[in-house]
Amino acid sequence: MNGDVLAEVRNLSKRFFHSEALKNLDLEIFKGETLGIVGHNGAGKSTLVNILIGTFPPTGGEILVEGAHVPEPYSVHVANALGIRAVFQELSLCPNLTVIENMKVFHPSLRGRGWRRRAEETIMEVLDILFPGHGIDPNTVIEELPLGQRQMVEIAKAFTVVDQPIKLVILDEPTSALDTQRTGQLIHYLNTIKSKEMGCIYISHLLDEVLACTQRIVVLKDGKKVGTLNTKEANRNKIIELMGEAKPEIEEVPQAGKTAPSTNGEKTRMTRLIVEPLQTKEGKVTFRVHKGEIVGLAGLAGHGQTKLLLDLFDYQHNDEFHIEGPVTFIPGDRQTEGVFPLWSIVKNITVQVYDKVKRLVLIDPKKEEKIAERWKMGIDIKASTLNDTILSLSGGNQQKVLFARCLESSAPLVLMDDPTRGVDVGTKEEIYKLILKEKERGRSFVWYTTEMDELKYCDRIYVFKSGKIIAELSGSDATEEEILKSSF
Amino acid sequence: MQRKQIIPTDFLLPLVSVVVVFIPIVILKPRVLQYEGLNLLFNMAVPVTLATIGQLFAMTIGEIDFSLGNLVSLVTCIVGTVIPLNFSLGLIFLAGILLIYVLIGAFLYLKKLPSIIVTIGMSFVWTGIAVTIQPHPGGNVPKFVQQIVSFRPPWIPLPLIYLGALAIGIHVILNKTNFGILVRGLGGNQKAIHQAGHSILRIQMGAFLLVGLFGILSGAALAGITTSADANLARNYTLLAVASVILGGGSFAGGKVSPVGAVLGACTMTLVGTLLTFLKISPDWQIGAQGLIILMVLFVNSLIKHPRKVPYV
Repeated sequence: MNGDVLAEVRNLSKRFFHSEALKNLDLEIFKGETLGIVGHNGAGKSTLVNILIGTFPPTGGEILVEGAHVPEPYSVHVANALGIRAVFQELSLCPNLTVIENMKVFHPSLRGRGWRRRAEETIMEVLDILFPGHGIDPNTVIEELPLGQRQMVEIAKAFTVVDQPIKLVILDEPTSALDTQRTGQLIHYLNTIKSKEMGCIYISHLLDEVLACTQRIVVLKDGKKVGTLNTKEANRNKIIELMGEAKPEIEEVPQAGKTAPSTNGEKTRMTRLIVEPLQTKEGKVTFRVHKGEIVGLAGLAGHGQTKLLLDLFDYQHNDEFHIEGPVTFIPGDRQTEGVFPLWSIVKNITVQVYDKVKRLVLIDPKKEEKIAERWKMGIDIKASTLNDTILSLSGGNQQKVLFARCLESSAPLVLMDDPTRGVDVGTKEEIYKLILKEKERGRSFVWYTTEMDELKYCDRIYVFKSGKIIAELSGSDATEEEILKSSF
Repeated sequence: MQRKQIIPTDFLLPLVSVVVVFIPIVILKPRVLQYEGLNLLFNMAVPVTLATIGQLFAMTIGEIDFSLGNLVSLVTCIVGTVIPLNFSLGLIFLAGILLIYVLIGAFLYLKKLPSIIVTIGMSFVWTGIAVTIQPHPGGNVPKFVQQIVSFRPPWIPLPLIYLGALAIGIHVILNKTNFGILVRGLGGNQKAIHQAGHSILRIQMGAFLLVGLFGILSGAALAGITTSADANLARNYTLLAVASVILGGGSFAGGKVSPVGAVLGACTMTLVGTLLTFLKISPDWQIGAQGLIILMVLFVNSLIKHPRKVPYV
């Protein structure tokens, strides 16, 4: 077996100033294998990735590639030379360069005569195999591509070979911006490259994906390996159990979601409209939102769901919509649209409700802290002190802060743009509960999600295709099959 | 193969700006269309363009050089005063400037300092040295420097040749070379450059070396044209260069620059001054009028230019 080991870490540890992110981790990846790594946010997955690709050094332990210790000092350069690549959750493309130019940045050996042509051929070949029908022009500047296509470029880029062969590709939440079809294509690709002399690490919060494309699954918790499962013998419950999740909760919630719409069905029909019906020329499907209703937006990613949310948000300048009262918006792209990175957690929570924290004309820090403290208790924001900068929180907890910010406002309509993107399972459950609770209080939600599971919480679902609503489903008959049938 | 249409969005607006300023000049003085007229008209555009290109490299990586005008003035003093007295000492001065620029580039990256503050500090240093070298305007610019900017090639006036060569040359450097793509990439996403295994320090030092180099070239050209060394000669070049880059379609955010646009922008800025003189507007009002015209052009630009938005289908 030893001859087949591609890469290995022994006794790996990483200490940050006050916390231990990885504790004596042992892990090996075999050739031709896709290894799944799952765990909570803060379980040490990102730390492991960053150590493997040389972003920062471990505080203890060793890394071996094909049986040999990696050269010291280990760095991004060395990792590149060894053929270790990573696809990140946050895109590692230069937005102002074209697809081809990004290839050159990634492969410095693309130089000399005809490098553009070679770069184009290399990336297009991988894109065509990985995502058939991707429709990406390699001369497009990245920022002019929709998020889904950017992610496709990012993934394909990691699988391109110019000179040194690829050994290990680490995919860290690669599908967060991909729709079901593209995710399926990626999983199919990973399953077909098994025979080759390389390995992959697949990190995702979406357990079904991990189960679909890996051979073994390693479960991390608090920086330690708590179990290794053979994917054939694994299932959701086993993994969740290992991750330390309360098992019954996961089982129950979708059930509760399913029954909720039917009991509420009568009620919502009686209650008033928050968003007046949107008239289309065909007169077929119209968009409307009732008070106390969760409306889901489904369909393939990038087919107009976010545009509808932005239009709704901008309703005062848009004659199409008649919305009662203010609206609030929870973005999914935390880093660019959500957090104020230099501000404290408190400031990030209260930024939308200055009228509540004002004393005469000035802001009263005590009032601010009171509000923040209430949310910290209420939705369990894991922070040592609320005056820390928001970036000291894990991704999931940052998202909780964004929820606190929006729900603190009195807006009766909450718009959500895939708000659980890259959030761990436990935090997701808490967010679902929070949404259902707020719904009971009479708040309405418009929820764009790329995860089928989340549509179970919706009372009604609009399916999008090519910028238009093509179907309206009620929550009870919105099975995955039904939605897929409408989207294709 | 489909080529992305860069030309219309990036070059057209600055080109229109130049034409809009150029046409009234031609109407007022038709003789500017002759060889000598074009020569005089675009002469001063050469040092402005060189300074603009320096600023362009700084702005490409998302930084800014607020000492550029002071540097250009200092270089006129070195070229007009130090070099005639002691040639090698002058060269040592210029090499020293380049070294300092490389160090500034490294310092900004390593210490994560804002370039505005550091370069404003440097502006006092440059002016201080310049005043020490040349307390009053004067100097004795060497003949060979004057000749470089004033010889008369057949058919096409010299400034137009320089401007064309600069536009094409810098475009090639930024868009076709390894270094250029990395410099632009650095302005777009520093993390991506790092993760691909490139040294940000080296790219940034290289970019600042070019800022200094083009600052020096601008100063030398200015000294050659005006035949004077003056510690305050080019102080307005700092903002003139920034405005030219922006007029040319660049952005403060970094990564987005157009070398051809910047050269056209620099021409616009120079021609505006000439136009105002031809209109017999007194120098007291010229700077204000110049500012107004710049604002107008930028306003029109912002109206025409579509904000680059991620297309949601």
